[in-house]
Order: sequence, then structure tokens, then C-alpha cells
Amino acid sequence: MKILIVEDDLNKMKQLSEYIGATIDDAELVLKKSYQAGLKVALRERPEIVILDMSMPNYELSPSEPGGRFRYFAGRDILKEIKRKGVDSKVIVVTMYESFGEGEETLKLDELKKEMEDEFSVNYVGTVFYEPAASGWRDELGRAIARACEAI
Amino acid sequence: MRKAEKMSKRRRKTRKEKRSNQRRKDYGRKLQRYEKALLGRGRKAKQLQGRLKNEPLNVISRACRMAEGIREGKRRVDGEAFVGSFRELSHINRMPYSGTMKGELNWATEIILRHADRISRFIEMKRKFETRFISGRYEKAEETLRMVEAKFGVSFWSMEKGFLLSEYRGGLKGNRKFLQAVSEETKGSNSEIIAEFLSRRAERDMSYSNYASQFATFLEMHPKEKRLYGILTNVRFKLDFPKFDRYADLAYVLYYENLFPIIDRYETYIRVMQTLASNMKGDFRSLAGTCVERMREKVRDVRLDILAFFGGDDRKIEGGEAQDELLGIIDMYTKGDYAGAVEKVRDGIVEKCDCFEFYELYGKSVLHLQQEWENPFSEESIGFRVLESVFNVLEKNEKTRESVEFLAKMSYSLGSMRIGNQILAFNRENRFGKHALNHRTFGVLNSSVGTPRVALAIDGIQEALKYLKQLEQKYPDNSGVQLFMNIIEQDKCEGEIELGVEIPEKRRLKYQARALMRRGEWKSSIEKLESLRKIADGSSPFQEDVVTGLFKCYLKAGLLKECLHLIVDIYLDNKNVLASLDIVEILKAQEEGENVCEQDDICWPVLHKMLQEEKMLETSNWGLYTKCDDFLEGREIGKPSDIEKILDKFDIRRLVYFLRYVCVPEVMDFSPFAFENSEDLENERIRICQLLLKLDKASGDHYLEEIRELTRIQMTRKAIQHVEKSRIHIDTGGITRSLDRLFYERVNRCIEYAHLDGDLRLSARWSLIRLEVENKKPLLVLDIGNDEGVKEFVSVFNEVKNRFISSNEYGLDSYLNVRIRHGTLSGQIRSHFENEQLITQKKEGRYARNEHWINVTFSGYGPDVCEKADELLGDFSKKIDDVIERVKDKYIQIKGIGDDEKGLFDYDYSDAQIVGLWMDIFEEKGVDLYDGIVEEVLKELWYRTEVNLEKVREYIKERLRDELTEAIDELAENIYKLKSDLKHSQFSAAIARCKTNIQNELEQIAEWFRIAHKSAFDDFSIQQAIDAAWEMVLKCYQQRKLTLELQKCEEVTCRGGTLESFIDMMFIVLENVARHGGLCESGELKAAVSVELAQGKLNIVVSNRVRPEDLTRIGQHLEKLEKLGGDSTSMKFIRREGGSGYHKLYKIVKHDLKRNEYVVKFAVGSDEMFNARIEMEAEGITA
Repeated sequence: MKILIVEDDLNKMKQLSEYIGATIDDAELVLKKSYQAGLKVALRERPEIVILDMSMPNYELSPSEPGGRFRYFAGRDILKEIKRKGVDSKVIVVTMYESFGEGEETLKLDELKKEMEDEFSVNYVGTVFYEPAASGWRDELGRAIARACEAI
Repeated sequence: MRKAEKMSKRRRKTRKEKRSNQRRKDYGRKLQRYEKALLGRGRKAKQLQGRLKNEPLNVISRACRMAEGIREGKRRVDGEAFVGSFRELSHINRMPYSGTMKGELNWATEIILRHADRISRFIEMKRKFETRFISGRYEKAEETLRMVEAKFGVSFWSMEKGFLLSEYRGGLKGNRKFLQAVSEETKGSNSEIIAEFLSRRAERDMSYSNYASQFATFLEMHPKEKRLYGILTNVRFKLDFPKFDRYADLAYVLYYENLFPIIDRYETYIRVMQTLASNMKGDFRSLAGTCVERMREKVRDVRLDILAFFGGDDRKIEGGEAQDELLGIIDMYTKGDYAGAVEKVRDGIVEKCDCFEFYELYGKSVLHLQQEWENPFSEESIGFRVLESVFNVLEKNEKTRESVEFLAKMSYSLGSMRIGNQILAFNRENRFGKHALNHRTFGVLNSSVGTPRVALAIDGIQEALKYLKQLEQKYPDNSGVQLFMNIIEQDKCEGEIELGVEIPEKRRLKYQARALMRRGEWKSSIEKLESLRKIADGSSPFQEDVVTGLFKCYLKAGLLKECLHLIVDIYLDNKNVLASLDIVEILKAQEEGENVCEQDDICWPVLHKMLQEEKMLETSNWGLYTKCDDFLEGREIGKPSDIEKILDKFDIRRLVYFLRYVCVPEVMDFSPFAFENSEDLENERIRICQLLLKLDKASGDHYLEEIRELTRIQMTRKAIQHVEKSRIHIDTGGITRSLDRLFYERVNRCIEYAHLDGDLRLSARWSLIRLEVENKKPLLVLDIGNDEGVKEFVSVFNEVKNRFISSNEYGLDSYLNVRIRHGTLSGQIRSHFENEQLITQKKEGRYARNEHWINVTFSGYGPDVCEKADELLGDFSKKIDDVIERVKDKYIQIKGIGDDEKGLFDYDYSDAQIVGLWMDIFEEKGVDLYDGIVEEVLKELWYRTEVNLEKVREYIKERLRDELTEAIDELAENIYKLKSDLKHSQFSAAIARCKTNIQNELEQIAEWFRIAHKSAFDDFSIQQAIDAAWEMVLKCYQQRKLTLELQKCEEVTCRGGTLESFIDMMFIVLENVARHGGLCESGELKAAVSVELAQGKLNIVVSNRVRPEDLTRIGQHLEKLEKLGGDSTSMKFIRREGGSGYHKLYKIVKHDLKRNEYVVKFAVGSDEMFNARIEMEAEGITA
């Protein structure tokens, strides 16, 4: 099963991939660190499951790439494109934040969850709150993946 | 039988009489109860008082009359209807809230009616004041105002007029003086706040948006308490009516109005009625019909006459002289006698300057005549500017937007005048963006007199005709009245539209089209409008009529494509023409999808951008991207610039708009396939601009500027990348050149020894050792101690190694110091913590209190938590700084130098390694030339450098990352221990962000530690080096408000090879400004740079303000620098850590740029400005 993780936090990415690698036997992981790189894979390879961070840079950072615009709602933007292009991947959002955006565009996690539930009911499976020091997120993610697998 | 019948009849009569008597008795008892309640104070009395408001008007009226015999009763009923001073303006509300709109309306009607005569007289004087004020006769207006106050007391109405007169007679000073006087009287009351905003609203130079935003800020400042909701709703209605949309809360507006004088109550009452009538249509009758009817019987006010028609009262509207005059002009206008209409209006408008209809008729007539016009008002009067603005808005010329803004301002300033409301309605019709208020009806309700146009707003054909027939009775030959009657009557007919009045051809077509639209005959209406379009040829005001008509007809007829193209083309032509349209309708029609227009139409993305631009739709950039993507995909175009191949398929104007405003980086960067990285995206935009240069020559400068800016960004980024790749540098050319004769002699001795047999090289005892050389077979070699040849090689190797590592001019350590340890490394790490405000600066040995997080988060948990959290954050700051210092001072160091064994740059070689090297060079490779040996030694040192760099990268990506993330985790854990719900605060989000960012930053920093492979950089402008250095400084000091001002920057092109040196030099100077500079008056930290090339010298001066407390310290430091003056002694300081880093400038200029003649000077002037001046010969470094 192809699983795409789009995440710009290296530590979180490591923990997510380790957990998925350890719990799903046939997981074929693709790891991307930006909106653009993640979206490309999501649309081209149409993985069964997509695990998304919410805020990340537009392009992957490198010595020659400053990353472009930082997107506070990159995860939601990827979801929008997945829906618009009719990709049927199941999407799980894993975030460390309880609010997103800046100024007038700020959204609380609950508001964002509600918006994603309402607008992307076909793809969106759920949101997992990631706390590096706690272990609860693993169980939550496990349950979300199970729900995604059932829906595939 | 007859008897029985009679008996039954009598019984019935008696029962009826009894019932009637009972009802009378009940009614009497009810009135007595209400009378008692009006005089009482208890809870029960209050309940009854509230209930009374919901009774019919006659009950309220009787109960009030009964209660007013006693002083307390009268006070409860009337409130303070007339007051003598501003101090008394606001009172307590003696009557409770009824809970219904009907109740509050009833009550207000009854109370106002009790003062009907005085209100009627007030209305006459009010009109007098308004005409005097608008026409600029301020002294006279003042007289009228004083008379109003003398007769009816003061009110918010009179206060507002006081502010207007003070402003228009005495300017802002006059306004503020009046405010001062009013505030003295109203201190601490609601009136003081209202006065403050009335004063601002009157200010001539305060735009309406500024006023509205100040008012919004005031509302936000108020706690959202339930008890304040009602009064704030009233204040909103009073002070911000154009934005008011809480129609469900109008009952509160009326209820709280009872606090104020009767004049204010009446004015608010009328506006509330007009608002209800505008938006409620038929329901208004049942709610307010009786109230209006009753009020109209007693109060003489044309606004009531018109409201009455909406309330179902069709008694004749009394006109008067103004109506005669206006209807006469309307007659001329309808018949096409525009010159006559102009003349008539010109003669009467100043006298009737409070009638907005005159302004509109004047503007339209002048436009039909298409000739020069004169403004009959005196130039300084409000009337003058209003008339001018109305004309500009109607003509849709280049001043339209500015005029719309002015009229919006007037709709606030003159808000309590009838003309203010008419202006509001007119302006709503002519500006983009919609509002909940039905402005057309609201405008009609504020008509100066009964005009034919009023009929169009009346609900129902019969009612409208009834109204017009009344007008017809009074003005039987008026063509305007006839025209409107005929138009409305056509609703019931079929076939060709007969207007029945002789009017000019263009207007005939317009009205015929309008009548056909009323009938729902869309296609016929389109034909008429197309004919009008042809003969009107874009002239005002027909163009707007045609466009609004066609828009509606196309939509209704399902001609979506035509509608879309019409809107887009008109927008590109003259966007002001579209202001009155609700363009969003077209999107709704497309969504509903019966007659969709293909997505590959370029007009869709253009329309969405246009709606975003005019704030008519909250279109995000993602939304724009999807429209752009749909269009490109539909046309099978990969990137917007590919359109160049099929230019002939598009209308050029639409294409230019699409490329210029839609295909911008912030929209295109949503596209996942078209662009690989930032540079790719920028290059696409450059290609688009190049295409636009061909398509839209008139805006060529704009596109050239955009290309220039994008190129500058790319060049700066490339320059930074180049520097980042060049951080690990050793000038081996410089080292080779610096080797002296003695060294040459030693190398040659080595070569000679190498040619000798082993035993001949021995100076003492034999000693064979077994040596394992990596990847090579074990060798038997000589012990160094006895082999003179090897001993000589050791000294040669060490000489080169020492220079390689430690040469102040060419060595690794000096470059590490300039390009990594000096500010950059610590700055870039620290800035991520500073960005999240997790660490503070150290001042006088202590870390500053973390005010940010204390204010934002911890203060809500009490002083104890604040103190402990601040302590933890202080410790954290120290920990982070310690880690950074350790990295700089211990790890990014040469091992052994400064007695530090932790240095990751390890150039220690064991005896065995050196012997192995000797064997490799002399025995295996047989090198026997000086240059070859030096090259081999350097090759070995580069190899070791690679090994060291790998260790550094590993250290940064792993150990340093762990140290920093652990410190963050520890801080978070300790903070959460103080209060567990802090886990769900903004603080916790900052912690998470900081962790992600620092990991990514360390990945980037680790990449600095690669050997710079000297790649050629193109010749560059000196500004590019300054920009790159400044960008690097900004990265290190993201939290500071830094500004770079290029005071004078000559176009100096430098040779590519000097880029790093120029950036190093500028970075040192500018970083010092960021670190030590003082703030200028604007609160910014400003660095000013000037570059001059004159008489073969390149002169760079950087100046900045110095903090006064630093003056002495800087003076002493500069004295020391002066003494050293960049000679060889000062070179010792190059590798010294900390300080200003100015010594390094000497090294860069003298050795990296190889300048023989140069000046590096620092000085502080008497103006507390610090100047760093670097002057050098230009030859050889400039292109």
C-alpha cells in the first residue's frame, strides 16, 4: 500500500515513518517535505493514503531553494487539489498546532477540522494531534489509518 | 310566538349591553392599571409598563394622558424631551423594553406625537439650517442653529451641527475647540463618546474608511457584554449607519433612543421607519402602517408623506413650491429639453441645495448636452463639491473613484440630513460592493418631494399607479408622470411598448427596454438595448443603462457567455460603468448550470480576478489558480507563457489583463506541475512580462520594472548561494605565493634525500617499525627520528599545514572566522528562537524579562506563573546562547588551537601517517619537483579538510540538533508543569514552530560546511553585493525593524571573482549596524549606504545612528583601531572572536581583494552618527 507523508518537520517525519513502517507490513512510503513536492506525488501516483502536515513551505528547502512562500494551509490546499482533480486517496492530517494562519486568516484546529469534514468528505479521514513527548498520537494515527483502510 | 321573539330579542340586547358595559369597565380598569403602573416603581409595575408598549396606540395614548397629571408620570412617559445643556443629554431609561419592534414603534410614535407641533416647527428650521449650511452660508446657518437650540433645547442633532459648523468655519482647530467645550460638559457619560465620534465624522480631511475603521476599533475595545449590546446597537445606528446591518435589532435602537431628547428620537424614528420600509416591502404596512398614518396626521414632514405610501396610506402628498419646480424640470428633461432643464436647475439649485434630485438632473442634463458646464455654488461650499462629484460619478470619468469616496464621506458627515441619506443611496448605486440595505428604496424614501420615480419603489402595480394618478391630478400635463404611468401600465399589456410621450430616441429605447424587462420579455429587451448601444456609442449616461440592462437580460435569457464577455469587456473599458451591478449573479448562474459557459474561456479567470480586485467576492489566490488552471487545461496549454504560440486565438485586451494580473507568482505557485522551484516560477513570470512587453507597449515601463525586480531577486539569491558555498575557503594560491626561500630549500632537500638509499638518510640507529597504511599493503619503513629525509618532509608539511590552517591572510581559520563564526552562525540559529520570542537579549549580565509571552499567555495565570515562566525562559535563553557559543568557540574550531581539544577541524597527523605520506609522495608516485610536492601536500590537507567537514556536518545535523531540540522540549515540559492547559496555548504552537524551523535551519547550515569549488561568478553590480549582505543580516536579525537606505549608489560593476569579498565586507559593516545601532525617530534601525566611484577610487560609506550610551565605548574602540591602522599587527586580531570584526575588513581589502592602497576609517560625528568608510583603488576589481 502506497502511503505518502508530506511533512516539513524532520523529527516528526522520522517518527511518523517509523511508526507506519512498524505497523503496516506492506507500506510503501513516499516522503515529501513541501506543498509542491507532496502535491505532485499525490496527483501523479495517487497513493492510497496521504498523511499531511498543515503548514509548510511551497518548495522543498535546499541550499539553492529558499522554499518560496510559506503556506499556513498547505495541507488544506493539497486536499482541495486532490478533491478538484478527483483523486480518491484517503487523507489524514497530522498536526502539532491548535491554530493556523496569521491575522484575519487565523483558524482554530476545530474550525479547520469542521471545514475539512464538510468540504472534503470523500477524502478526509480525520486529524491527529501530534505531541512529540506523548505517545497518544500513535494510537490515534493507528485508528485513523484503520478507518482509511476500511474506506479504500 | 311574537312575545317569545321579543323576549329573546330583549335578552340578546341586554346581553350585548352587558358585554359592552363589561368591556368598557375592563377597558377602564386596564387603563387604571396602566396609569398606576406608569406611576409605580416595583417589578410588577415594570412588567405592566413593558406590556403597555405592545397595546394599540389609543390605549397607550389614553394611559399616558391619565398618568401625565402627576409629575412622575409625565417624566416616565416623556423622559427628558427637551434639555438645556449637553450635560443633560443622556438620561436613564424610565420605561422598560417591550421586547418587540411593534411595541417600541408604538411607544415612540405616541411619545413623539405628544410633541408634534414642536417637531413640525423643528423640521422647518432644520431644512433652513441644511440649505444654509450646504450652500456655504455658515454664519446664517449658525444663526438658525442657535434659534433651534433656543426653541427646542440642545440635542445630538444640534451637537453634530455644531461640529460641522466649527469644522467648516474654523477648520480642525475649530472642531477640536468645540469638542473640548462639549467634553467638559459631557465628561464620563455616553454623550462624551458620541461627541468624540461626531467630531471625527465632521473632520473634512478624515476619509470615511478611516472613520469607519476608528469606529470599528472602538467597538472591538468594548467587552462583548450582553448588557452593553443594546446601547451599542443604538450607537452603531447613530454613528455608523452606512454600515449598519443589524435590522433584527432595530427595536433596541428605538428603545435606547428614549434616553435622548425628542428631536433625536424623532430623527432616529424616521430613519428606523425608512430602514424597515426599504427592506420589508409589504410587511411594513402591517407593522408600521398605523404608526405612520397617525404621525402623518400631526407632523408635517415630506418623509412621512412618502413613508405613508409604503404604509398603505394613499392620501395625497402635499407638494408645495419645491415640488412644482422639480416636476417642471422633470417635464423638460423627459421631453429632451436638456438645455431648459440645465437653465432651470442652475437658477434654483442653490436655494434648493438640500434636494438631491436637482444635482442628479443637472448632471444628467449636462451629460446629454455633452457640453461644458458651470457649477453655480460658491467654491468653498459643500454643494459645490457634491455637484462636481455627482457629475463625475455619472460621467464615469477618471475622477469617478475619487468622487465616490468623497460622496461616501458626505454620507457620513451629512448623515443626519435628508441629502446625506440621498447621497448614501446614490453612492451605493455607483460603487462596487453590495450592502443589505435596499438603497434604491431608501433613496426614494428620502426624496425631497413626491416625484414620479417614487412609484418604482412602491410595492404593487396598483399602489404605484394610485400614487402616480395623484401626481397626475396635480400635474396633468407632466410628461415625466405620464411616462412612468405608461411604463408601469405596460406591465399588463402585450406587443410593442407604447410610451405615450414624445421623448428623444435614445431615451425612448431605454424606457422601452426597461418596460420589456418588467414584462420579462428578455430577448426583445436585448434588441432594444443593442439598438441603443449602437446609437449611443458609449456616451454617458446611456452606456450604464445599456450595460445594466443587457447584464440582467442576458442572465435571464440564459445567454451566459454573452453576459460574461459583456462584463469583462466593459470592465477593461471603464470599470466604473459596472459599479451598480451585482456581478456575482453570473457565477450563481454558472453554478446552477443550465446554460453553462465553457471553462476554457479566458474571461472566467479575468472575471474572478476582477471580482477579487473590487472586493465583490472573497476569491482566494487558490480560487484564481483553479480558474486559470481550468482555462489552460481546456486549451491544452502547459504554462501561461506558452500562449505566445496561439496569440491569434485571443482578444488582446483580455489576454493582457489575464497575463498581467492573473498569471502572477502568488497564483501560479499553486500549480504542482508547471514549476519545479522558485527560480523556475520567477523565470516564467519574466517570460510573461516579456510577452506583455510586446502585447501592451503602453505599460512597457511597468513590465520592465517587474523584470528588473525579479532579476534582482534572483541575482541576490544566487549571490547568497555563492557565498554560502564559499564559506569553507582556503586561499592556496596565496599560501603558495607566501612560501619563502628557506621553504624552497627545504623542499629541495627533501627531494635530494628521497633519491638517497635508506641507509644514507639515517642519522642514528636503525629502527624498523611495522606500519598499517589504510587500504595499502603493510610496509616496512624507517623511524622518523632517524631519517633525515623524512624529518625534512615533516617540517615542510607542517609549514604548509600551518599556513593552510592558521594564516591570517589565506588560512582556513580566518575564513571560518569571517564567514561563519562572525555573526552568521549564531545569528541564523538565534533568530529562530527570537522569531518566536522564546529568548531575550542579555542586558547588564541578565536576560531581559520576556514581556511578550508574559503578556500574551502567562499573565492570564497569575503573577506566580508569570514569574516562574519568566525564570524558565531566562534559563532557556542562557542555555541556547551557551550552546551557540560552544559551537562557535569549541566545535567550529581547529583542534589544538587555543588549547581546545574539541575542535572538529582536526589536522593532527601521527608519525606513522606522515611517514606514510612521505612514502606515497616520494616512493610510490616518485614526485621530484618543488611544485609537485607542494601540490601533494595541499591535496592531503584538502582531503583531511573533507573528512573534518563531514564530521562537522554530522555534528550539526545530529548532536547540535539534538541539543537544541532537547532544550526546547525541556523548556516546554517545565512550562507545562506550571499549568497543564498551556499545552493548548499559543506558546505551545510557538514551541512546535521553533522546533521545525531550527531543524530545517540546521540542515541548511550543515550545507555550508562543504569545500568551496571555485566556480566563476558573473560580473556583478555592487548593489547586488550590498543586497545580498543585507539579506544575510536580515536573516540573522529577523525580529528587528531594520531599514537599508541606498543614499547614493553609483552603477559600479565588479569582477565576478570579488563577489564573496564584497559581501563579506558589507556583511561585517551592516551586521554591526544591526547589532549596535541606535534607533532613529521612526523607531527603525536604519543603515544608510553610499557608493561612489571617482578618480579611480571606489568609496563605500555606511552610516547609522549610535545609541547615546554606547558613544564612549565606541570612541575608545575606534581609538584603538586607529592606532593599529590595519598594519600587520592588526592581522593578529582577525581570528579573534567577538567584537566588531572591523579588523577583518583590513584583511579582506588587503589580502582577499589584494589592494595595496586603501583606507578603512571609522568615526562618530557630533550628530551621533557612526560612519564606516572603505576606500580602495578600483582598478582590477571593477569591470
